[in-house]
Amino acid sequence: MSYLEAKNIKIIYRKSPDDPGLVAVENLNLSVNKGEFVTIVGPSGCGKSTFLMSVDGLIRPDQGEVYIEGKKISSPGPERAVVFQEFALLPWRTVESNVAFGLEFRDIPPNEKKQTIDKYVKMVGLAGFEKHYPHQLSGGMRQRAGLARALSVNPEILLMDEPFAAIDAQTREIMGTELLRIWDREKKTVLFVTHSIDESIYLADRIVIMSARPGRVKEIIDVKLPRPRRFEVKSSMEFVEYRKRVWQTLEEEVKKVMDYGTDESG
Amino acid sequence: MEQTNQDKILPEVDAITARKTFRGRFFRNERWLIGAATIVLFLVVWEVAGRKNWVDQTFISRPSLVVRAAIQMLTSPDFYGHLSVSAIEFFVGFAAALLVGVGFGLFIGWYKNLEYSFEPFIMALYSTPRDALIPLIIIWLGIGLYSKMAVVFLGAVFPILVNTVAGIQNVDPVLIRAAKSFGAKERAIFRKVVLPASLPYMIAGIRLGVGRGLIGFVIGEMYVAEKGIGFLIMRAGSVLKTDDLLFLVSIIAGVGVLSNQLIRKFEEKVSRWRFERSV
Repeated sequence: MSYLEAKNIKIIYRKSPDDPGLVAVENLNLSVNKGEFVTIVGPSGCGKSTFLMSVDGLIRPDQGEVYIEGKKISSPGPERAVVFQEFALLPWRTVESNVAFGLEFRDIPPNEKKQTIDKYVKMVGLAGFEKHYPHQLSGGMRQRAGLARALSVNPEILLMDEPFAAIDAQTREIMGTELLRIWDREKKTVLFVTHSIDESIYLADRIVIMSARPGRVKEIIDVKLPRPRRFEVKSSMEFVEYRKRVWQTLEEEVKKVMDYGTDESG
Repeated sequence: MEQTNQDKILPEVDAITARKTFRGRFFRNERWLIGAATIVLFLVVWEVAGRKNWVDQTFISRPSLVVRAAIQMLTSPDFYGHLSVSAIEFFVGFAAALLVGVGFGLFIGWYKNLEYSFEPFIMALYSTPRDALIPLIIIWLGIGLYSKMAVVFLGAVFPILVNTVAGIQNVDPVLIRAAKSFGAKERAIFRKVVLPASLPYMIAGIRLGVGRGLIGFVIGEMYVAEKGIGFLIMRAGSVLKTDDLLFLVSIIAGVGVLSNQLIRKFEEKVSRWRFERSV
Protein backbone atom coordinates (compact mmCIF):
# COMPACT_ATOMS: atom_id res chain seq x y z
CA MET A 1 0.00 0.00 0.00
CA SER A 2 1.16 3.49 -0.81
CA TYR A 3 1.67 6.24 1.68
CA LEU A 4 -1.66 7.87 0.86
CA GLU A 5 -4.41 5.86 -0.68
CA ALA A 6 -7.90 6.88 -1.78
CA LYS A 7 -10.08 3.92 -2.59
CA ASN A 8 -13.35 3.97 -4.47
CA ILE A 9 -14.30 7.41 -3.23
CA LYS A 10 -17.85 8.50 -3.88
CA ILE A 11 -19.09 11.86 -2.64
CA ILE A 12 -22.63 13.09 -3.09
CA TYR A 13 -23.52 16.72 -2.61
CA ARG A 14 -26.88 17.18 -0.93
CA LYS A 15 -28.57 20.44 -0.12
CA SER A 16 -30.82 18.72 2.44
CA PRO A 17 -31.03 15.18 3.84
CA ASP A 18 -33.82 14.13 1.44
CA ASP A 19 -32.16 15.70 -1.61
CA PRO A 20 -31.20 12.92 -4.05
CA GLY A 21 -28.09 15.04 -4.54
CA LEU A 22 -25.43 15.47 -7.08
CA VAL A 23 -22.69 12.90 -7.43
CA ALA A 24 -19.55 15.00 -7.25
CA VAL A 25 -16.98 12.23 -7.15
CA GLU A 26 -17.38 8.56 -8.00
CA ASN A 27 -15.03 5.60 -8.21
CA LEU A 28 -12.03 7.73 -7.47
CA ASN A 29 -8.86 5.79 -6.82
CA LEU A 30 -5.52 7.38 -6.19
CA SER A 31 -2.21 6.39 -4.63
CA VAL A 32 0.40 8.92 -3.59
CA ASN A 33 3.92 8.20 -2.44
CA LYS A 34 5.61 9.88 0.45
CA GLY A 35 7.30 13.13 -0.52
CA GLU A 36 5.58 13.23 -3.87
CA PHE A 37 4.20 16.40 -5.42
CA VAL A 38 0.91 15.52 -7.07
CA THR A 39 -1.17 18.06 -8.92
CA ILE A 40 -4.83 17.51 -9.68
CA VAL A 41 -6.42 19.17 -12.70
CA GLY A 42 -9.89 18.79 -14.06
CA PRO A 43 -12.77 20.76 -15.51
CA SER A 44 -14.86 23.04 -13.30
CA GLY A 45 -17.16 21.18 -10.99
CA CYS A 46 -15.35 17.86 -11.33
CA GLY A 47 -15.08 17.50 -7.59
CA LYS A 48 -11.34 17.98 -7.27
CA SER A 49 -11.62 20.34 -4.32
CA THR A 50 -14.30 18.15 -2.80
CA PHE A 51 -11.97 15.22 -3.05
CA LEU A 52 -9.18 17.21 -1.42
CA MET A 53 -11.46 18.10 1.50
CA SER A 54 -12.26 14.44 1.95
CA VAL A 55 -8.54 13.70 2.21
CA ASP A 56 -8.37 16.27 4.99
CA GLY A 57 -11.38 14.67 6.64
CA LEU A 58 -13.53 17.78 6.41
CA ILE A 59 -15.94 15.95 4.10
CA ARG A 60 -16.85 12.36 4.71
CA PRO A 61 -17.15 10.29 1.51
CA ASP A 62 -20.45 8.51 0.97
CA GLN A 63 -18.47 5.51 -0.13
CA GLY A 64 -14.86 4.47 -0.03
CA GLU A 65 -12.05 5.40 2.32
CA VAL A 66 -8.89 7.41 2.46
CA TYR A 67 -5.90 5.73 4.09
CA ILE A 68 -2.69 7.27 5.30
CA GLU A 69 0.05 4.75 6.01
CA GLY A 70 -2.68 2.13 5.98
CA LYS A 71 -4.78 3.92 8.59
CA LYS A 72 -8.30 4.93 7.72
CA ILE A 73 -8.96 8.61 8.23
CA SER A 74 -12.23 10.01 9.48
CA SER A 75 -11.39 13.52 10.60
CA PRO A 76 -8.70 16.18 10.19
CA GLY A 77 -5.42 15.10 11.73
CA PRO A 78 -2.08 16.61 12.71
CA GLU A 79 -0.25 15.02 9.78
CA ARG A 80 -2.32 17.00 7.28
CA ALA A 81 -2.78 20.72 6.74
CA VAL A 82 -4.78 22.66 4.17
CA VAL A 83 -3.96 25.81 2.24
CA PHE A 84 -7.28 27.30 1.18
CA GLN A 85 -8.11 29.08 -2.04
CA GLU A 86 -9.74 31.95 -0.16
CA PHE A 87 -6.74 32.09 2.22
CA ALA A 88 -9.09 31.66 5.21
CA LEU A 89 -7.01 33.94 7.39
CA LEU A 90 -8.65 35.37 10.49
CA PRO A 91 -9.04 39.04 9.55
CA TRP A 92 -8.74 40.24 13.17
CA ARG A 93 -5.37 38.60 13.63
CA THR A 94 -1.99 39.80 12.48
CA VAL A 95 0.21 37.69 10.23
CA GLU A 96 2.14 36.16 13.12
CA SER A 97 -1.02 35.49 15.06
CA ASN A 98 -2.59 33.85 12.03
CA VAL A 99 0.48 31.67 11.58
CA ALA A 100 0.20 30.75 15.25
CA PHE A 101 -3.43 29.69 14.84
CA GLY A 102 -2.76 26.09 13.89
CA LEU A 103 -0.30 25.69 16.76
CA GLU A 104 -2.89 26.73 19.31
CA PHE A 105 -4.53 23.35 19.09
CA ARG A 106 -1.32 21.54 19.94
CA ASP A 107 0.65 21.34 23.13
CA ILE A 108 3.70 23.37 22.34
CA PRO A 109 5.83 25.36 24.79
CA PRO A 110 5.56 29.12 24.11
CA ASN A 111 9.19 29.72 23.19
CA GLU A 112 9.20 26.85 20.76
CA LYS A 113 5.99 28.24 19.31
CA LYS A 114 7.58 31.63 18.83
CA GLN A 115 10.56 30.07 17.05
CA THR A 116 8.33 28.04 14.77
CA ILE A 117 6.29 31.08 13.82
CA ASP A 118 9.41 33.13 13.09
CA LYS A 119 10.89 30.34 11.04
CA TYR A 120 7.92 29.96 8.72
CA VAL A 121 7.13 33.65 8.48
CA LYS A 122 10.70 34.08 7.23
CA MET A 123 10.53 31.06 4.98
CA VAL A 124 7.53 32.36 3.07
CA GLY A 125 9.11 35.81 2.78
CA LEU A 126 6.89 37.71 5.19
CA ALA A 127 9.60 38.89 7.58
CA GLY A 128 8.82 42.48 8.49
CA PHE A 129 5.09 41.98 8.01
CA GLU A 130 4.45 40.06 11.24
CA LYS A 131 2.27 42.80 12.69
CA HIS A 132 0.22 43.43 9.58
CA TYR A 133 -3.40 42.47 9.29
CA PRO A 134 -4.55 40.44 6.28
CA HIS A 135 -6.45 43.33 4.71
CA GLN A 136 -3.22 45.30 4.62
CA LEU A 137 -1.57 42.64 2.46
CA SER A 138 -1.86 41.75 -1.21
CA GLY A 139 -3.38 38.46 -2.29
CA GLY A 140 0.04 36.94 -2.81
CA MET A 141 1.18 37.92 0.66
CA ARG A 142 -1.99 36.65 2.25
CA GLN A 143 -1.46 33.29 0.69
CA ARG A 144 2.13 33.29 1.90
CA ALA A 145 0.67 33.68 5.38
CA GLY A 146 -1.78 30.86 4.63
CA LEU A 147 1.12 28.68 3.55
CA ALA A 148 3.15 29.57 6.65
CA ARG A 149 0.19 28.69 8.83
CA ALA A 150 -0.13 25.30 7.20
CA LEU A 151 3.63 24.61 7.38
CA SER A 152 3.93 25.70 11.01
CA VAL A 153 2.06 22.66 12.30
CA ASN A 154 4.69 20.58 10.51
CA PRO A 155 2.32 18.35 8.56
CA GLU A 156 3.55 15.49 6.43
CA ILE A 157 0.90 16.13 3.84
CA LEU A 158 0.09 19.54 2.46
CA LEU A 159 -3.32 19.81 0.84
CA MET A 160 -3.48 22.84 -1.41
CA ASP A 161 -6.87 23.78 -2.78
CA GLU A 162 -6.31 26.06 -5.77
CA PRO A 163 -4.13 28.17 -3.51
CA PHE A 164 -3.04 30.61 -6.21
CA ALA A 165 -6.40 30.99 -7.94
CA ALA A 166 -7.15 34.32 -6.29
CA ILE A 167 -3.71 35.76 -7.01
CA ASP A 168 -2.75 37.81 -10.06
CA ALA A 169 -0.98 35.97 -12.86
CA GLN A 170 2.47 37.48 -12.38
CA THR A 171 2.59 36.94 -8.65
CA ARG A 172 1.31 33.46 -9.30
CA GLU A 173 4.42 32.60 -11.32
CA ILE A 174 6.62 33.66 -8.43
CA MET A 175 4.53 31.83 -5.86
CA GLY A 176 4.89 28.58 -7.82
CA THR A 177 8.66 28.79 -7.85
CA GLU A 178 8.76 29.71 -4.16
CA LEU A 179 6.49 26.81 -3.31
CA LEU A 180 8.90 24.44 -5.06
CA ARG A 181 11.81 25.93 -3.13
CA ILE A 182 9.99 25.39 0.17
CA TRP A 183 8.85 21.92 -0.82
CA ASP A 184 12.44 21.05 -1.64
CA ARG A 185 13.50 22.06 1.87
CA GLU A 186 10.58 20.73 3.85
CA LYS A 187 10.03 17.44 2.01
CA LYS A 188 6.28 17.31 2.29
CA THR A 189 3.85 15.20 0.37
CA VAL A 190 1.74 17.66 -1.59
CA LEU A 191 -1.68 17.34 -3.18
CA PHE A 192 -2.21 20.47 -5.22
CA VAL A 193 -5.53 21.20 -6.92
CA THR A 194 -5.41 23.68 -9.79
CA HIS A 195 -7.18 24.87 -12.90
CA SER A 196 -3.97 25.89 -14.55
CA ILE A 197 -2.38 23.37 -16.87
CA ASP A 198 0.99 25.10 -16.73
CA GLU A 199 0.94 25.11 -12.96
CA SER A 200 0.00 21.43 -12.89
CA ILE A 201 3.02 20.54 -15.01
CA TYR A 202 5.52 22.96 -13.51
CA LEU A 203 5.00 21.80 -9.93
CA ALA A 204 4.29 18.11 -10.28
CA ASP A 205 5.97 14.79 -10.07
CA ARG A 206 2.68 13.41 -11.30
CA ILE A 207 -0.39 15.08 -12.77
CA VAL A 208 -3.77 13.58 -12.01
CA ILE A 209 -6.30 14.51 -14.65
CA MET A 210 -9.87 14.16 -13.52
CA SER A 211 -12.96 13.57 -15.62
CA ALA A 212 -16.01 15.80 -15.73
CA ARG A 213 -18.57 15.21 -13.02
CA PRO A 214 -18.81 12.72 -11.45
CA GLY A 215 -15.07 13.10 -10.97
CA ARG A 216 -12.81 10.12 -11.48
CA VAL A 217 -9.15 9.81 -12.24
CA LYS A 218 -8.97 9.86 -16.02
CA GLU A 219 -5.27 9.80 -16.56
CA ILE A 220 -2.08 10.15 -14.60
CA ILE A 221 0.96 11.68 -16.25
CA ASP A 222 4.48 11.41 -14.85
CA VAL A 223 6.39 14.62 -15.22
CA LYS A 224 10.04 13.90 -15.83
CA LEU A 225 11.29 17.47 -15.98
CA PRO A 226 14.53 17.85 -14.00
CA ARG A 227 14.45 19.53 -10.61
CA PRO A 228 15.02 22.11 -9.29
CA ARG A 229 12.83 23.75 -11.90
CA ARG A 230 13.01 27.34 -12.93
CA PHE A 231 10.65 29.56 -14.80
CA GLU A 232 12.58 28.98 -18.06
CA VAL A 233 11.53 25.34 -18.13
CA LYS A 234 8.08 26.48 -19.21
CA SER A 235 9.37 27.37 -22.65
CA SER A 236 11.27 24.12 -23.14
CA MET A 237 10.19 21.60 -25.77
CA GLU A 238 9.44 18.96 -23.15
CA PHE A 239 7.18 21.31 -21.26
CA VAL A 240 5.26 22.14 -24.41
CA GLU A 241 4.86 18.42 -25.05
CA TYR A 242 3.41 17.90 -21.58
CA ARG A 243 1.08 20.83 -22.10
CA LYS A 244 -0.21 19.20 -25.29
CA ARG A 245 -0.70 15.86 -23.60
CA VAL A 246 -2.56 17.29 -20.63
CA TRP A 247 -4.77 19.39 -22.84
CA GLN A 248 -5.59 16.46 -25.13
CA THR A 249 -6.97 14.52 -22.19
CA LEU A 250 -8.58 17.51 -20.55
CA GLU A 251 -10.20 19.05 -23.59
CA GLU A 252 -12.81 16.35 -23.98
CA GLU A 253 -13.81 16.66 -20.32
CA VAL A 254 -13.97 20.42 -20.41
CA LYS A 255 -16.23 20.23 -23.44
CA LYS A 256 -18.55 17.84 -21.62
CA VAL A 257 -18.89 20.39 -18.85
CA MET A 258 -19.58 23.15 -21.34
CA ASP A 259 -22.29 21.01 -22.92
CA TYR A 260 -24.27 20.64 -19.76
CA GLY A 261 -23.41 24.16 -18.82
CA THR A 262 -22.46 23.96 -15.21
CA ASP A 263 -21.18 26.97 -13.38
CA GLU A 264 -20.26 25.31 -10.14
CA SER A 265 -16.64 25.29 -9.16
CA GLY A 266 -14.56 22.87 -7.19
CA MET B 1 8.18 40.41 -3.24
CA GLU B 2 5.67 42.43 -5.19
CA GLN B 3 6.85 45.97 -5.44
CA THR B 4 3.46 47.65 -5.72
CA ASN B 5 2.29 46.07 -2.52
CA GLN B 6 5.34 47.13 -0.64
CA ASP B 7 4.57 50.66 -1.66
CA LYS B 8 1.06 50.37 -0.33
CA ILE B 9 2.24 49.23 3.05
CA LEU B 10 4.90 51.84 3.63
CA PRO B 11 3.68 54.53 6.02
CA GLU B 12 2.20 57.30 4.00
CA VAL B 13 3.21 60.75 5.13
CA ASP B 14 0.57 63.33 4.51
CA ALA B 15 2.37 66.54 3.71
CA ILE B 16 -0.38 68.82 4.92
CA THR B 17 -1.21 67.17 8.21
CA ALA B 18 2.45 66.85 9.10
CA ARG B 19 3.02 70.58 8.93
CA LYS B 20 2.52 72.53 12.09
CA THR B 21 1.32 75.65 10.35
CA PHE B 22 -2.09 77.23 10.81
CA ARG B 23 -3.21 75.67 7.55
CA GLY B 24 -1.95 72.31 8.71
CA ARG B 25 -3.81 72.60 11.99
CA PHE B 26 -6.95 73.67 10.21
CA PHE B 27 -6.97 70.73 7.86
CA ARG B 28 -6.22 68.28 10.60
CA ASN B 29 -9.24 69.48 12.58
CA GLU B 30 -11.33 70.50 9.61
CA ARG B 31 -14.20 68.23 10.50
CA TRP B 32 -14.99 69.46 13.98
CA LEU B 33 -13.97 73.06 13.33
CA ILE B 34 -16.57 73.38 10.61
CA GLY B 35 -19.08 71.50 12.73
CA ALA B 36 -18.47 73.79 15.71
CA ALA B 37 -18.73 76.90 13.56
CA THR B 38 -22.12 75.80 12.32
CA ILE B 39 -23.37 75.24 15.86
CA VAL B 40 -22.15 78.69 16.98
CA LEU B 41 -23.85 80.32 14.01
CA PHE B 42 -27.07 78.47 14.78
CA LEU B 43 -27.01 79.58 18.43
CA VAL B 44 -26.39 83.20 17.46
CA VAL B 45 -29.28 83.25 14.98
CA TRP B 46 -31.52 81.58 17.56
CA GLU B 47 -30.60 84.10 20.26
CA VAL B 48 -31.17 87.05 17.94
CA ALA B 49 -34.45 85.64 16.67
CA GLY B 50 -35.68 85.38 20.24
CA ARG B 51 -34.48 88.81 21.38
CA LYS B 52 -35.85 90.62 18.35
CA ASN B 53 -39.11 88.72 18.75
CA TRP B 54 -39.01 87.37 15.22
CA VAL B 55 -40.62 84.32 16.68
CA ASP B 56 -42.57 84.17 19.94
CA GLN B 57 -40.15 83.25 22.74
CA THR B 58 -42.77 81.05 24.40
CA PHE B 59 -42.30 78.65 21.53
CA ILE B 60 -38.59 78.72 20.85
CA SER B 61 -37.02 80.23 23.98
CA ARG B 62 -33.43 81.50 23.57
CA PRO B 63 -30.02 79.99 24.24
CA SER B 64 -29.38 82.42 27.10
CA LEU B 65 -32.70 81.55 28.73
CA VAL B 66 -31.98 77.86 28.34
CA VAL B 67 -28.62 78.38 30.05
CA ARG B 68 -30.34 80.24 32.88
CA ALA B 69 -32.84 77.38 33.24
CA ALA B 70 -29.95 74.94 33.23
CA ILE B 71 -28.14 76.76 36.02
CA GLN B 72 -31.31 76.92 38.07
CA MET B 73 -31.96 73.24 37.73
CA LEU B 74 -28.38 72.18 38.23
CA THR B 75 -28.25 74.10 41.52
CA SER B 76 -31.44 72.61 42.91
CA PRO B 77 -31.01 69.33 44.81
CA ASP B 78 -34.42 68.23 43.62
CA PHE B 79 -33.12 67.91 40.07
CA TYR B 80 -30.54 65.30 41.02
CA GLY B 81 -33.25 63.12 42.46
CA HIS B 82 -34.96 63.09 39.08
CA LEU B 83 -31.70 62.56 37.26
CA SER B 84 -30.69 59.60 39.39
CA VAL B 85 -34.08 57.95 39.00
CA SER B 86 -33.77 58.14 35.23
CA ALA B 87 -30.16 57.00 35.34
CA ILE B 88 -31.02 53.97 37.45
CA GLU B 89 -33.90 53.07 35.16
CA PHE B 90 -31.70 53.32 32.13
CA PHE B 91 -28.65 51.53 33.45
CA VAL B 92 -30.45 48.64 35.06
CA GLY B 93 -32.69 48.16 32.04
CA PHE B 94 -29.81 48.44 29.62
CA ALA B 95 -27.48 46.19 31.58
CA ALA B 96 -30.15 43.50 31.61
CA ALA B 97 -30.69 43.98 27.88
CA LEU B 98 -26.96 43.67 27.24
CA LEU B 99 -26.69 40.53 29.30
CA VAL B 100 -29.72 38.85 27.81
CA GLY B 101 -29.19 40.16 24.26
CA VAL B 102 -25.58 39.02 23.96
CA GLY B 103 -25.90 35.89 26.09
CA PHE B 104 -29.08 34.57 24.60
CA GLY B 105 -28.08 35.78 21.14
CA LEU B 106 -24.83 33.81 21.22
CA PHE B 107 -26.69 30.77 22.41
CA ILE B 108 -29.44 30.68 19.83
CA GLY B 109 -27.14 31.89 17.07
CA TRP B 110 -24.87 28.93 17.64
CA TYR B 111 -27.61 26.33 18.00
CA LYS B 112 -29.67 26.66 14.86
CA ASN B 113 -32.70 24.71 16.11
CA LEU B 114 -33.09 27.03 19.06
CA GLU B 115 -33.09 29.95 16.70
CA TYR B 116 -35.81 28.34 14.61
CA SER B 117 -37.99 27.87 17.66
CA PHE B 118 -37.49 31.35 19.10
CA GLU B 119 -37.45 33.32 15.91
CA PRO B 120 -41.25 33.88 15.66
CA PHE B 121 -41.34 35.32 19.20
CA ILE B 122 -38.31 37.48 18.68
CA MET B 123 -39.53 38.81 15.38
CA ALA B 124 -43.01 39.51 16.75
CA LEU B 125 -41.65 41.35 19.78
CA TYR B 126 -39.02 43.14 17.73
CA SER B 127 -41.69 44.44 15.39
CA THR B 128 -44.18 45.44 18.09
CA PRO B 129 -43.92 49.12 18.90
CA ARG B 130 -42.99 48.80 22.52
CA ASP B 131 -44.80 52.00 23.40
CA ALA B 132 -47.95 50.01 22.76
CA LEU B 133 -46.91 47.64 25.52
CA ILE B 134 -46.36 50.35 28.13
CA PRO B 135 -49.89 50.19 29.59
CA LEU B 136 -49.52 46.44 29.97
CA ILE B 137 -46.11 46.78 31.56
CA ILE B 138 -47.50 49.30 34.03
CA ILE B 139 -50.33 46.94 34.96
CA TRP B 140 -47.71 44.31 35.67
CA LEU B 141 -44.97 46.35 37.29
CA GLY B 142 -46.63 49.50 38.58
CA ILE B 143 -45.78 53.12 37.92
CA GLY B 144 -42.41 53.08 39.66
CA LEU B 145 -38.90 52.33 38.46
CA TYR B 146 -39.48 48.72 37.49
CA SER B 147 -41.85 49.46 34.68
CA LYS B 148 -39.39 51.93 33.13
CA MET B 149 -36.55 49.47 33.46
CA ALA B 150 -38.71 47.00 31.60
CA VAL B 151 -39.41 49.52 28.84
CA VAL B 152 -35.70 50.28 28.48
CA PHE B 153 -34.96 46.57 28.49
CA LEU B 154 -37.54 45.79 25.84
CA GLY B 155 -36.27 48.56 23.62
CA ALA B 156 -32.60 47.68 23.88
CA VAL B 157 -32.66 43.91 24.02
CA PHE B 158 -33.94 43.13 20.53
CA PRO B 159 -31.47 45.07 18.42
CA ILE B 160 -28.66 43.53 20.50
CA LEU B 161 -30.13 40.05 20.28
CA VAL B 162 -30.96 40.13 16.60
CA ASN B 163 -27.56 41.56 15.65
CA THR B 164 -25.70 39.03 17.77
CA VAL B 165 -27.54 36.19 16.08
CA ALA B 166 -26.86 37.72 12.66
CA GLY B 167 -23.18 38.09 13.58
CA ILE B 168 -22.83 34.44 14.43
CA GLN B 169 -24.67 33.30 11.37
CA ASN B 170 -22.58 35.47 9.08
CA VAL B 171 -19.26 34.04 10.13
CA ASP B 172 -17.39 33.04 6.98
CA PRO B 173 -17.77 29.24 6.78
CA VAL B 174 -14.27 29.00 5.31
CA LEU B 175 -12.85 30.25 8.62
CA ILE B 176 -14.73 27.57 10.52
CA ARG B 177 -13.54 25.01 8.02
CA ALA B 178 -9.94 26.16 8.49
CA ALA B 179 -10.26 25.92 12.26
CA LYS B 180 -11.68 22.40 11.99
CA SER B 181 -8.88 21.45 9.66
CA PHE B 182 -6.35 22.45 12.30
CA GLY B 183 -8.13 20.27 14.80
CA ALA B 184 -10.21 22.87 16.65
CA LYS B 185 -13.12 21.45 18.62
CA GLU B 186 -16.49 23.15 18.92
CA ARG B 187 -15.58 25.24 21.98
CA ALA B 188 -12.38 26.50 20.43
CA ILE B 189 -14.11 27.29 17.15
CA PHE B 190 -16.68 29.29 19.06
CA ARG B 191 -14.14 31.16 21.14
CA LYS B 192 -11.47 31.77 18.52
CA VAL B 193 -13.48 32.19 15.36
CA VAL B 194 -17.18 32.77 15.91
CA LEU B 195 -16.96 35.18 18.81
CA PRO B 196 -14.41 37.60 17.35
CA ALA B 197 -16.04 37.40 13.92
CA SER B 198 -19.42 38.42 15.27
CA LEU B 199 -18.14 41.15 17.58
CA PRO B 200 -18.67 43.98 15.07
CA TYR B 201 -22.30 42.93 14.68
CA MET B 202 -22.77 42.86 18.43
CA ILE B 203 -21.37 46.33 18.80
CA ALA B 204 -23.66 47.62 16.05
CA GLY B 205 -26.56 46.09 17.95
CA ILE B 206 -25.41 47.65 21.21
CA ARG B 207 -25.22 51.05 19.61
CA LEU B 208 -28.80 50.73 18.34
CA GLY B 209 -29.81 49.40 21.73
CA VAL B 210 -28.47 52.44 23.57
CA GLY B 211 -30.55 54.74 21.40
CA ARG B 212 -33.69 52.72 21.90
CA GLY B 213 -33.03 52.40 25.61
CA LEU B 214 -32.75 56.16 26.00
CA ILE B 215 -36.06 56.64 24.26
CA GLY B 216 -37.42 53.94 26.55
CA PHE B 217 -37.15 55.65 29.90
CA VAL B 218 -38.26 59.01 28.51
CA ILE B 219 -41.40 57.54 26.97
CA GLY B 220 -42.06 55.44 30.04
CA GLU B 221 -41.78 58.43 32.35
CA MET B 222 -43.84 60.59 30.11
CA TYR B 223 -46.61 58.03 30.14
CA VAL B 224 -46.87 57.83 33.89
CA ALA B 225 -44.29 58.59 36.58
CA GLU B 226 -43.58 60.62 39.66
CA LYS B 227 -39.94 61.23 39.04
CA GLY B 228 -37.34 61.33 36.32
CA ILE B 229 -36.21 63.44 33.38
CA GLY B 230 -39.11 62.33 31.21
CA PHE B 231 -41.49 63.34 33.98
CA LEU B 232 -39.83 66.77 34.20
CA ILE B 233 -40.13 67.19 30.44
CA MET B 234 -43.83 66.42 30.62
CA ARG B 235 -44.30 68.87 33.49
CA ALA B 236 -42.31 71.63 31.82
CA GLY B 237 -44.32 71.12 28.64
CA SER B 238 -47.66 71.34 30.39
CA VAL B 239 -46.82 74.77 31.85
CA LEU B 240 -45.13 76.08 28.67
CA LYS B 241 -41.66 76.26 30.25
CA THR B 242 -39.83 75.99 26.96
CA ASP B 243 -36.48 76.90 28.56
CA ASP B 244 -36.61 74.01 31.02
CA LEU B 245 -37.90 71.68 28.38
CA LEU B 246 -35.09 72.37 25.95
CA PHE B 247 -32.44 71.97 28.62
CA LEU B 248 -33.89 68.61 29.64
CA VAL B 249 -34.05 67.41 26.07
CA SER B 250 -30.46 68.47 25.52
CA ILE B 251 -29.36 66.36 28.48
CA ILE B 252 -30.81 63.28 26.83
CA ALA B 253 -29.31 64.22 23.48
CA GLY B 254 -25.95 64.74 25.20
CA VAL B 255 -26.08 61.33 26.83
CA GLY B 256 -26.94 59.82 23.47
CA VAL B 257 -24.00 61.46 21.71
CA LEU B 258 -21.63 60.62 24.54
CA SER B 259 -22.57 56.96 24.66
CA ASN B 260 -22.25 56.71 20.91
CA GLN B 261 -18.73 58.09 21.14
CA LEU B 262 -17.86 55.71 23.95
CA ILE B 263 -19.07 52.75 21.95
CA ARG B 264 -17.10 53.90 18.95
CA LYS B 265 -13.94 54.15 21.05
CA PHE B 266 -14.58 50.71 22.41
CA GLU B 267 -15.14 49.41 18.90
CA GLU B 268 -11.89 50.88 17.69
CA LYS B 269 -10.11 49.25 20.56
CA VAL B 270 -11.49 45.75 20.18
CA SER B 271 -11.57 45.63 16.41
CA ARG B 272 -8.46 47.55 15.62
CA TRP B 273 -7.94 45.39 12.57
CA ARG B 274 -10.90 46.97 10.85
CA PHE B 275 -9.78 50.51 11.48
CA GLU B 276 -6.11 50.08 10.74
CA ARG B 277 -6.47 50.81 7.05
CA SER B 278 -3.37 50.49 4.95
CA VAL B 279 -1.10 52.25 7.36
